[in-house]
Amino acid sequence: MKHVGQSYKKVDAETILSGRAAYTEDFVPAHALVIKVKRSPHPFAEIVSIDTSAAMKVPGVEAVFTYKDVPQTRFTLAGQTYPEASAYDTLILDKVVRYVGDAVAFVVAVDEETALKAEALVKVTYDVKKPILDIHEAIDNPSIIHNEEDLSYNFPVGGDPKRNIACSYKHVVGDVEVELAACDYVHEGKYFDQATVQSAMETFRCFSTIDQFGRLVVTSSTQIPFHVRRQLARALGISASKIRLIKPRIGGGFGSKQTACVEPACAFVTWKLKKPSVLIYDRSEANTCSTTRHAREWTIRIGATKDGFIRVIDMYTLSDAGAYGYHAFTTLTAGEHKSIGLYGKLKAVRYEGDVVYTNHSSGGAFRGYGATEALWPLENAVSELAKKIDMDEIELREKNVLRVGERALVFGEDERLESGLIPEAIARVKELSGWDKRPHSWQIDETHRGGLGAAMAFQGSGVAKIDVASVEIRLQEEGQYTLYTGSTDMGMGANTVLQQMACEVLGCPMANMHIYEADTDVVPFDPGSYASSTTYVTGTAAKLAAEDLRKKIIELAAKRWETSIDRIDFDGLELRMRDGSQVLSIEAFAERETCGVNRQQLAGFATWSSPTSPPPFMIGVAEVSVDTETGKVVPTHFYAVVDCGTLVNPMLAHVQAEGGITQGLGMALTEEVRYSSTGRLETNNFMHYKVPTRQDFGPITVDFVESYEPSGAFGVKSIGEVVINTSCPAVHNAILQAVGASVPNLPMIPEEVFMAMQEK
Amino acid sequence: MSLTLQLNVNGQLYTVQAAPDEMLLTTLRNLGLYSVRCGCDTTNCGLCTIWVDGEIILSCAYLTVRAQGHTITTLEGLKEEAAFLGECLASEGADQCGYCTTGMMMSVMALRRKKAHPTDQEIKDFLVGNLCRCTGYQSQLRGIRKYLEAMAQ
Amino acid sequence: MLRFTRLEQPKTLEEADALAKRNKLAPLLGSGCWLRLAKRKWPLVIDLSLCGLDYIRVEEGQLCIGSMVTQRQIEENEVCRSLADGAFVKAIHAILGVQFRNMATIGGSIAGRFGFSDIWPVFLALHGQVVLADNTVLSAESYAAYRERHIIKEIRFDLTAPKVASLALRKSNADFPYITGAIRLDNHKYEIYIGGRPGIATKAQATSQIVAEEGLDGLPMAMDKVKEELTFQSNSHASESYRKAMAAVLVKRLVEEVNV
Repeated sequence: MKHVGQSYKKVDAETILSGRAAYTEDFVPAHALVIKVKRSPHPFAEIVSIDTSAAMKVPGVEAVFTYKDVPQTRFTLAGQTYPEASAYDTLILDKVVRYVGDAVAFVVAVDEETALKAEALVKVTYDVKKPILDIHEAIDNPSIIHNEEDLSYNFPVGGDPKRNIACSYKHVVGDVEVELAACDYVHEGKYFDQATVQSAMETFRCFSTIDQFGRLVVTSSTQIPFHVRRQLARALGISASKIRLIKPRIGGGFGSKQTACVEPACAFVTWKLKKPSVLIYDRSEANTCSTTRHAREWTIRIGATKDGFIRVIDMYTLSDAGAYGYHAFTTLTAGEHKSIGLYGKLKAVRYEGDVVYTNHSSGGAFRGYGATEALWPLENAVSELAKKIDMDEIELREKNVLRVGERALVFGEDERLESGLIPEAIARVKELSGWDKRPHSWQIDETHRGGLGAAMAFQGSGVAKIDVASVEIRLQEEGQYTLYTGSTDMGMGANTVLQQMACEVLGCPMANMHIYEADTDVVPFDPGSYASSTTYVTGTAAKLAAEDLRKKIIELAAKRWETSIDRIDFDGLELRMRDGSQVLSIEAFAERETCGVNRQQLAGFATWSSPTSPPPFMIGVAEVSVDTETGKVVPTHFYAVVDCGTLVNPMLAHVQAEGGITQGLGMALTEEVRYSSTGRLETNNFMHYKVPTRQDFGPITVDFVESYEPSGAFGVKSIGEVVINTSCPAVHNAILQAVGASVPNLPMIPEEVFMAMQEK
Repeated sequence: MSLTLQLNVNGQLYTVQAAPDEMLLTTLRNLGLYSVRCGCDTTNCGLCTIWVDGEIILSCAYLTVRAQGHTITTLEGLKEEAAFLGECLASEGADQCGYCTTGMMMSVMALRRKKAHPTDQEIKDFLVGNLCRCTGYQSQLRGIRKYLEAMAQ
Repeated sequence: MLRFTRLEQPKTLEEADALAKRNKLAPLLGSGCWLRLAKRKWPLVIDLSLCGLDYIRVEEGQLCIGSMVTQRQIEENEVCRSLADGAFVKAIHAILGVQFRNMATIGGSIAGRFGFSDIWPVFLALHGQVVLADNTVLSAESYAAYRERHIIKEIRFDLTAPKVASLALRKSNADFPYITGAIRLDNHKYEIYIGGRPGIATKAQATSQIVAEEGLDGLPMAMDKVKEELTFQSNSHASESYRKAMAAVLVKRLVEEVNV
């Protein structure tokens, strides 16, 4: 293939590396009113009174809005296709505040300094309620976090807000107890994963204006422009047709911008005042007042026969929704397929969970979306089971891993693993890491031990039966192509990859195509970039749109030349009759066809969705050094092999893998989430929330095996999320090998490891 | 109270109005120098890295008042070299979201002036104050190596 | 952010000192690195950056470092690098990133007297001195407890430092350490300092004594002693019990380091 498989640099690289205006903040109109949010100091309280008079008297203050001023229709900020599986539990401003940092009022002023000055003058009297700051105390607590009567669900997700249950899920196949009793080895474990913060370097921000037609234009750093448009329409009580969402370059997302955040406030202010406004979060607001991964406590039982066949997986989680139930149900359910689905010899499964409301910051979407969470206990337990059986942990996995053509116990009736070079990937990672040639536990020096540990992961590629992407490619009058997509490149290179796939079909060089993305007035509908969907779902739509355009160009040429389409060759640049009698450049063709009587602009259009969500596969091997006196763990090397199907851009895929693994290492080792006893998030900045620096870990070796997934374009699956999933359990398992201790809580900071070694 | 200050930025003299407590980051962005960004408020991320007299500093924590009499350099002022470094990074896919990259590039170009042939460890050491959430740093290192090797020729 | 409406930039130390005495509450600005972490608004702030306090010089066998010298200037200065075989610059090198160290001043690091300071234990172990604006000279130990309003003119060290080593344990690079330590071995006399307990570094007198008397054989006893001799507390960086255990590890590692 000409373009698919090429390691092109990104189509937008030059602009973003030049420092020229590219990101939301760079385009804020002069004189936009600045919004500052007055925030609750209490984790749980009801507003008794708000006095905004002093704030309003500050010169330069335009408005102060409170819950009394906003529409009273509840909605969800979760970026999901309608009807969302998240509770409608949110108002633009609410009389009840549910975490330290929850919004109380919007202060709107001519500049930041004035807004801050006025914000301090807003006087609020609270009826402070007893908060719930521990997931174990949530269910049936006398404090009811969402006691409002107008909270609603689009369909049942096992929620019971009066009991503080945001949602719950239970799936049982077979008889867990009977099968466990028949197992020769059973491992039981309890593990905890923390509410990690996505920490995109660009915090949440947007600005709004009113256009010449009186419509609301919201420019936002979001992964989900179409979903946000719909949410804003509901929240403001206006038609979605009155709203335009534009996404400029995003400075990182990782799922954080799959949940609306700053948009409702900013849109409300501009709609109300008919003046431009801007809202930019500082780092502390970004960490506290957006959404994080859901913290989950897991109990797991896993059983195997003496010859190493894993027959039972029994998992239960009690999970923290935080104050609002964004993505609470879908992250929980997504975890099932992508973890338990790995194991193909099971006879019984239970996967169950309750996600409870607490007075913490809200959970949401974070790369991995439930799979990372579920794979943490599962892959830990598999390695601990291997230790019990006295079997090599990779051998145990190889023996049990799902094969192509097989149906996992948790899959749907007609669902099979259609593609995957899983044994090949496993063999390759063993080769890279020297798995069979060296000890998995060794003494490095007097105070350090080394260990090797492994973990596997699945993810999906888009949301099966739900994600629908449309792509349009127009032939412009100069013979150039423009691709229009509603997907949202946030740095991963989606724009480049989509263009590669379209150019592959049309045949033209990359330079002859341009891409325009994520502007709801211009591009066709796309749910946005999340759920590892862009390459597989939108990419397939791009391929089909290119095919549609190609067909139209050839058909039109055939008509003009009064010949049949099979006698025309077209390489994207030139149309030519096979017999050489006619040659026409695409420039000349386009120019001729776009202007004049009975002419038209040609455009290819395609909409695509998939009945399946083919899982990419990854196996990771962590090598660690453990300081046996202090518990400090250093990941000295990480080896990974990924099967994401056909690699459209091997270089960009490689960087995705390295980046995902590193984020996973942060979750594994450094990214602590701490609340004060009064419910304040202490780890609300980079001084306390430690994302990995470039000195915190050793080399990362990544390789790929390329299976061919038949359902989408060019054999692709996804890469974006699967790559974060193995770091935590692989490091856990390497520590287990190194020092014989299982560290149950993330992150595995020195003190946790030290304690685990003491308890061993 | 706003002060009238003379600043030398990228070889050009500017007269700016700034409050006594204004940080250089704000002043530079007001001059349209968008390569300088704010990422953290706590001196941890390095997005706002610029040069004062050739030394890398955090413009989010550097008072504009103090910049008088010094030579300020941002990515925009390093034109060809910055473009070449950008090209080296892009050729390794190391730009990703790009938000942290321009600040990191300022550190890289400062390092080269101090040490033309640093080891990987020295590179990591010098750049530890530049956080990146996308890349995992590996591709950055490959791009930086490419740039240093080419510049050393 | 720390806001202010007026900034005075005195050109001499004397002028600065007079200003500071006239305006008893006005914050004194060293590097200003953490201005954004503050939340107050002040009418006046006194900037020390133009007072000529950015010198490093050797006078009468002493290394004198002006209080406005940056951490990075110290790291790159040959005399500072050679002090105690590099023990001083090693402690500085671990602090955040180069950009930060290009701004943060030694005066600020010393005046802050932070418990998590990487510099304080080694400053104590080197028997560093603080010279105030009025030329009062204070030992590191007495300065740690000094509570008067003052401006630091410079810090000083004897160039003939004995064997000194320092160590800090942190959860990740560019994080604050959760425990720090330094040791001084001067003619069989040991001084061990432990910081980040989380309080400021302080001498573990009895522990030092045990090592001095028993040598390496006394290590296990010294490791126990340090846990009871000093006070340790829990905070967000580490628990009391873990800090105690790690103080013992530091004692062991520091003693071993000066004995190789």
